[in-house]
Amino acid sequence: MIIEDDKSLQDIYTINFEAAGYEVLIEGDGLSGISEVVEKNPDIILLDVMMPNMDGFAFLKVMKENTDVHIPVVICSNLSDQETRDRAIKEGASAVLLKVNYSGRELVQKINLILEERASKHKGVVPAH
Amino acid sequence: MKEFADIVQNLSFTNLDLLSVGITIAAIALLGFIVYISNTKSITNISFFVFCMVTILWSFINYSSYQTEDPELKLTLWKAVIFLGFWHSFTFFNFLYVFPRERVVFPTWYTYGLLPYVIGMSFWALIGNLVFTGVQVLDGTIQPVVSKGILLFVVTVLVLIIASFSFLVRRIIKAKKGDKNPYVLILVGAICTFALLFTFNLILPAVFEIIRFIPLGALTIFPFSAFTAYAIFKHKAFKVKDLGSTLMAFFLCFVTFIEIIFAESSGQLLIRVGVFLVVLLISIQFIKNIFALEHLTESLEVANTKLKSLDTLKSEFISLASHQLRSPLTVIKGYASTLTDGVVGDLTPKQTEIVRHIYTSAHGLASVVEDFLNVTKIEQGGMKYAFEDVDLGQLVKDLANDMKIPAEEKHLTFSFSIEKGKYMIRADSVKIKQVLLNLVDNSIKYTKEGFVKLSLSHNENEHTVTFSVADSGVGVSEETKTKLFTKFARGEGGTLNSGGSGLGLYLAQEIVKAHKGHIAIDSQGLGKGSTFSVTLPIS
Repeated sequence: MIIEDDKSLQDIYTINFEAAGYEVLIEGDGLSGISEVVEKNPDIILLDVMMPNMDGFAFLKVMKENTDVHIPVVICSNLSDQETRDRAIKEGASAVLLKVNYSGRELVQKINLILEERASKHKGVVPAH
Repeated sequence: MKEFADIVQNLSFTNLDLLSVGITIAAIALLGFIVYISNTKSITNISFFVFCMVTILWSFINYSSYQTEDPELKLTLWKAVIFLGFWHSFTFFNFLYVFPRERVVFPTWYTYGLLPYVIGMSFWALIGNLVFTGVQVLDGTIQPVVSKGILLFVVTVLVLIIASFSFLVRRIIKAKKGDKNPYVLILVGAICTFALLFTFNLILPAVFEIIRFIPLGALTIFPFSAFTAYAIFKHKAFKVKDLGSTLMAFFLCFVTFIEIIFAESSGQLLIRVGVFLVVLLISIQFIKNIFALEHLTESLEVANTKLKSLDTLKSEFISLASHQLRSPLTVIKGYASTLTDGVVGDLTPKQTEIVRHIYTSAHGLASVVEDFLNVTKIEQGGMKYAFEDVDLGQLVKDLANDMKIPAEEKHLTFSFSIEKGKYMIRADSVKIKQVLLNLVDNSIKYTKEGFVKLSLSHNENEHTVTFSVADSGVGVSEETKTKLFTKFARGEGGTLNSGGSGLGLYLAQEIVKAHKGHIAIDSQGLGKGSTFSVTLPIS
């Protein structure tokens, strides 16, 4: 799931992720994202910070406090200050990326990596039969 | 000690009276001055000061009237006591009317009714025969001849005092829970003062015929002055250290005043009065300076707070501006890379080249924004480092893998060597990677042909690790070396690439410095390649 208010970026991410075989869900702000996240239960969420209605931090807080879902959230913002980074991690984000540093392909690669790491972690804790 | 005992034994009662009245007068004067100096523009402070001055004058004349046996002088002094009695109750009323406001517009009844009435009555009592018409000798003591006008005086004083108390009580009722304290303090002081006044000036003389304490009127006023001054201090959140210094000044005045009381000759008396006056003047100046300093400190604190909020505003603005600048660049880079990566179909070689130029330019501009942002952060002292244990060996290996592609695209020989050992350092991995990436990127950028060699080594004796990037590029002249790490400096390679911010090496140096390391450049000269190295301490 991609929660991003910029239409062009929605388009770029959709093209690249669909080309890589992902099924993409797009939401324009945190509020619509939070109502969809429980129902759709995506594998990973790509979350912008500065958005109308409900920003990324509020989304993380609501998701953590009001839902039972444990979906990895990758913050993808153009805010580079340490406060944003620290706050995002504190609120439960798995990673914080500076949007401008990633091309579409690089972002797909990064998300692949995070999902692979998560999958191998889960494998490790599952008892062997 | 014996001499002191003799002096005390010989000390007349009058001296002790003078001592107590004198100390009280000095204390009231000092309190009045402190309150006034603390805020010379506040009507509350001015009113309190005026009340204190009238009190002092009234106390002094009241005391003096009992020290002379000259009937004419006694009558004049008694008239002056009544004159000041009017003003005393009026200034009391006035103070409680204005407290605790800083500015007050007086109503018409005050300006055109009460004030002219008090002026008229007080001068009638002083110059005319409103209260006292003359003196008479009764039982061997000089007594004033009292006229019926004294009723007017008593009624005026009572009305003013009752009105003052009603102001006070009304304020206590209206004040919020936490704001009642100053008014309660003043009320307590006023009750103490009036209890003493009625006891010593009314009940004792009228019921028990003890007039001994009437001259000591100043003492009865002291509780009100002290409680009120304290209330004003509390209300204005006075600094305790100022009060300490002020008390020291008061103590000095007090000691020099005592010296006057114990003077044994008129010459000594003159000298001691002179000393007392000098000490008093210096003390007042000293207290004035303290307040001036306090005022200055407060102004500085206000300015400091303003600067801090401006600083926060500036940081927020820079952060937001960077965000807004990056957003369109992200879109440009995103679409350009989508095209060049062939995600939406293949482009012709010419189209690929054009889109690649778009991508490279947008990338360059994003780097410039990043550099400007970082320089601003460093200059504001706002660059924050998230230090953690970092495996520099792994970091450089990843970096070498990433940078191999652009180097080989330029047909350069790219190599990486690492000495065996541990490379754990305390660093902000993002920032230190940015520094190393910047150096390798520069080497590739400014090398047309030949090689780019990365290496990582450690020095056990010095507990340091060194990352180096050597190239066969444009090289650096001796002259350029000295200014290469300054802001907006451009090396010889600048002519090949004018799109950079000129801040990369300056930033690299600042970040390395923050890691307690150092950055260096080695080059044999123009066209002979260069080696940049970063040395960092092992954790």
